[in-house]
Amino acid sequence: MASLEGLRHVSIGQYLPTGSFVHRLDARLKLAACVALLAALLLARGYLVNIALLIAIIGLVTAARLPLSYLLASLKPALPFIVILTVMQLLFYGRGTGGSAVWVEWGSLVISAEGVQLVVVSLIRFIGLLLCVSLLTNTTTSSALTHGVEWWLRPLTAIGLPGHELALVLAIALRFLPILGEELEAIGQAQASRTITTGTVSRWHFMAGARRIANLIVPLFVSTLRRADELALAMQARCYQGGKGRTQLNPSNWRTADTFAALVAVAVLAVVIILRHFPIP
Amino acid sequence: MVYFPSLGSYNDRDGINVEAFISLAPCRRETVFFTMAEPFIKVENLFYSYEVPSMEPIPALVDISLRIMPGEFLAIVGHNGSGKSTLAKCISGLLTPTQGQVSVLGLNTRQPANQRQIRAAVGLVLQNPDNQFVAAVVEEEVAFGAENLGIPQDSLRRRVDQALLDTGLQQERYANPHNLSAGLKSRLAIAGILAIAPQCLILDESTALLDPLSRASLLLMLHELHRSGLAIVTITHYMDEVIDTDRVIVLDAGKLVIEGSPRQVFQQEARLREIGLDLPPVGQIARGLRTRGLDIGYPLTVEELIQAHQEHKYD
Ligand SMILES: Nc1ncnc2c1ncn2[C@@H]1O[C@H](COP(=O)(O)OP(=O)(O)OP(=O)(O)O)[C@@H](O)[C@H]1O
Ligand SMILES: [Mg+2]
Repeated sequence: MASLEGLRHVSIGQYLPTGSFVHRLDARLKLAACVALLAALLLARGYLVNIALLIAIIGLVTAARLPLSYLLASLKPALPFIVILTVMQLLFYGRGTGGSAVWVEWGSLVISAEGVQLVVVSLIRFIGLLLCVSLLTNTTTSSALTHGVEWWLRPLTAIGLPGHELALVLAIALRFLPILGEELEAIGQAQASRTITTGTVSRWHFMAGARRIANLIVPLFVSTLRRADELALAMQARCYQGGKGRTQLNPSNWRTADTFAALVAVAVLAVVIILRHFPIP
Repeated sequence: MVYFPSLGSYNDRDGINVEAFISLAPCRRETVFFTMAEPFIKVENLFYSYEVPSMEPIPALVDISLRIMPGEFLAIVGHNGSGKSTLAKCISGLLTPTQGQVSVLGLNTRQPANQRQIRAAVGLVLQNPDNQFVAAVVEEEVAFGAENLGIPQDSLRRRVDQALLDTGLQQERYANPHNLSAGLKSRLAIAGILAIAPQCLILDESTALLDPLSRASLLLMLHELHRSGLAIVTITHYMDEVIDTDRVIVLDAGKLVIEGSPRQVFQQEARLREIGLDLPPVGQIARGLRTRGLDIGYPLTVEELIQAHQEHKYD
């Protein structure tokens, strides 16, 4: 159960106040910019543009005064999967389509330049994606995030969907991630101490593995429902009756810096889209 | 003894139906006791059963009648599963009685239209603060309830500051609730309720998870809030917390079995033992002395024990 260790340190969905200028930006802008950056990451072709994007994102993380190692800690639980996926992709990608250079050929296993590029770009995308979302949640309070999402969902609200409620659910769900991580860890440890899991013998045994996961998921599910129930009660006890007539302690206000940041985000996305039409490595 | 400033700035009851609060406007305990004969909360023949699918309903409260006066300090005790939390939820309108009536400030909790006002008047702090936090920053967590009431921004700011001050959380204003110590989490849960400016604070085992020091400081805070005019209902397993309250009610299997001043309640030792409750520490010592033939009476505090000891004629 070593992979359960460290789940509580998941930084994605957390908030870390450092008082940087990124923290002070408007939540609506940050949401849109995050989406723009994600789109840019997915649309970027070739090594250069992807690496440039990753560097830009790391630059933003630094500007937000968030420790990079703290954000990357979220990767740790997923690391085994990433390694396995990477190796598989590398080995079984094949020759590719464009007749690219073949670097290694050993029986049916082929490592081509195109395969390597795909793997590296996927890794960069994955890390960039994680950093982008972590950057958003770590620099935006729940309340600001809720109002930001709510603002973007206004078209939905106009046609009668519960925009505020959706936004609040999203914000709370993010904050619950580390709590759920802790819970999973605790359940895993409790079961390990009662030896519900049976050590190394059956580790690679598929059925045992499936049962082990069920052993974890069912209690987690139950406790999550209980928590959700209690949270709902606690919100009702504090007079929550939906978004109507709510006021805000820290209302957002759009400043020049936000307009500037929005322009930069749009420019980045535009440049990435244009560069798709040029043969850049 | 001024540890905490008065609750003056909570008194701007903007956004809430003012008439309902006028009667209680001067939040001073003395005034309240002489001018208000009317109870603040009335519970009449309350029954509550939890509906469980494909099973018999579980009766959690059976025929409870109770009155809570403005500015009173009431303790509710009872062993696990005796219905304490259920009673608290019924009083604050989170649960609707299966039978009987609960009214707060004359407003019946059955009426959905009254819910907002009732919950704003009776602030319920639930068990397990961990599962209650909605925000990622302490000050926004405190503001949540008041935001729901639609309090305008400047008085919202004042209320939050006051609640942080009253609970001693100013230092943690920008911290993440999840990272606070258990003691501070309990305080934060209370601050979030104080910001909605209730007239009555119900605490469901707020001291249960705390170390002795945090517990003592939380109790000090509660008594300070009480002195400033707030009615307090505390649910607890610690008998020593009960000693300096105005009134105690004991629940057993959903029934109200003993009611009275702490002194009256703790004199019914045999009855308490039947229910599975014990005396506060000093009471236990006195009981030990009595069984060994020392006629020491029924002291509850160390001071009383010393006095009883000095008055005792050892012959
Ligand atoms: N949501 C629920 N569904 C079904 N039964 C419940 C529910 N909540 C409580 N009960 C039952 O109602 C009874 C009273 O529960 P309650 O939580 O009010 O007790 P309590 O005095 O607060 O106990 P504790 O000291 O453990 O907090 C118990 O028998 C409990 O099992
Ligand atoms: Mg309880």
